[in-house]
Amino acid sequence: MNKKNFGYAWKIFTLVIMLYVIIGGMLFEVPVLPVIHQTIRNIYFHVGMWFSMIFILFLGFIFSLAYLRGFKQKYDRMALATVKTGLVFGLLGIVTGMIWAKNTWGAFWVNDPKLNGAAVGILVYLAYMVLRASLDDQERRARLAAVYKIFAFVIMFVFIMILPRISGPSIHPGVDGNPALASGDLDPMMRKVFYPAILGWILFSYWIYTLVYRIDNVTDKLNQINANYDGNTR
Amino acid sequence: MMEIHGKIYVVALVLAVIFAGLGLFLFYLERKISALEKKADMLEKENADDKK
Repeated sequence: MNKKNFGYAWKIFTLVIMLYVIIGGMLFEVPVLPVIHQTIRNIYFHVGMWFSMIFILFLGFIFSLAYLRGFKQKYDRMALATVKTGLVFGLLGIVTGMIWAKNTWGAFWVNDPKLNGAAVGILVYLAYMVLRASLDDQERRARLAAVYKIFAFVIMFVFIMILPRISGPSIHPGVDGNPALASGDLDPMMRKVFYPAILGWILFSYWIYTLVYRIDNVTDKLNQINANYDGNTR
Repeated sequence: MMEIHGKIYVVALVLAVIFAGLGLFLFYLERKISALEKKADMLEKENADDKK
């Protein structure tokens, strides 16, 4: 399989998985639980947002390290694209969670370590965008942003994955265990949709990331050409 | 199990069609971006030639 065919193949594979997840996620049997009822199916979609966000932001963490090794502008652009994409998935995770919370707990937001941790994790990355916007010099901005982002990933991970588990009781499902991956926590009948859902969402978010990066890249390039062109005619 | 089959499959199908549509739309966007990338590369090359 050559490169171009592979580029198409994994995207079609992604779409097929996601169609399976949507149909299976809506129709396959789920355990009957009080209060939650059918909303348990949200795990295929809401949790997928968070897996995607953390995967994409982990990529960004690697890109920032890569930038600091050789100061290649390409890695700075890639890092920026991961944050843009990760923020979209994170915000979707928050909003889908709030809709479910309103219908389960009766309020859009409750004062809970998991929820507040997720909010802080996202704010840390919003601050990254603010930091970038406040610096004009391209190289300086890239270097500071990379250093900040390496810490941002660690902080975000601690706030979303670690603090909620050690800061006492939480109302959010799965905080006291490892609901996604531990064998005892997720009902076996849900795994045949949940695992493909995670894979599908991660591939899908990576696809979106590549588009964001390419758009940023070509925009920069065209701007540069424009600037050079103006310089030549003057 | 019976209760959830109250035509929920219609909703599942609608969601599937929407997602498939958005997926195809992404392919369309990719082609547009590829065309732009090609154009930018060409312009860049022309500029470099002009400078010589």
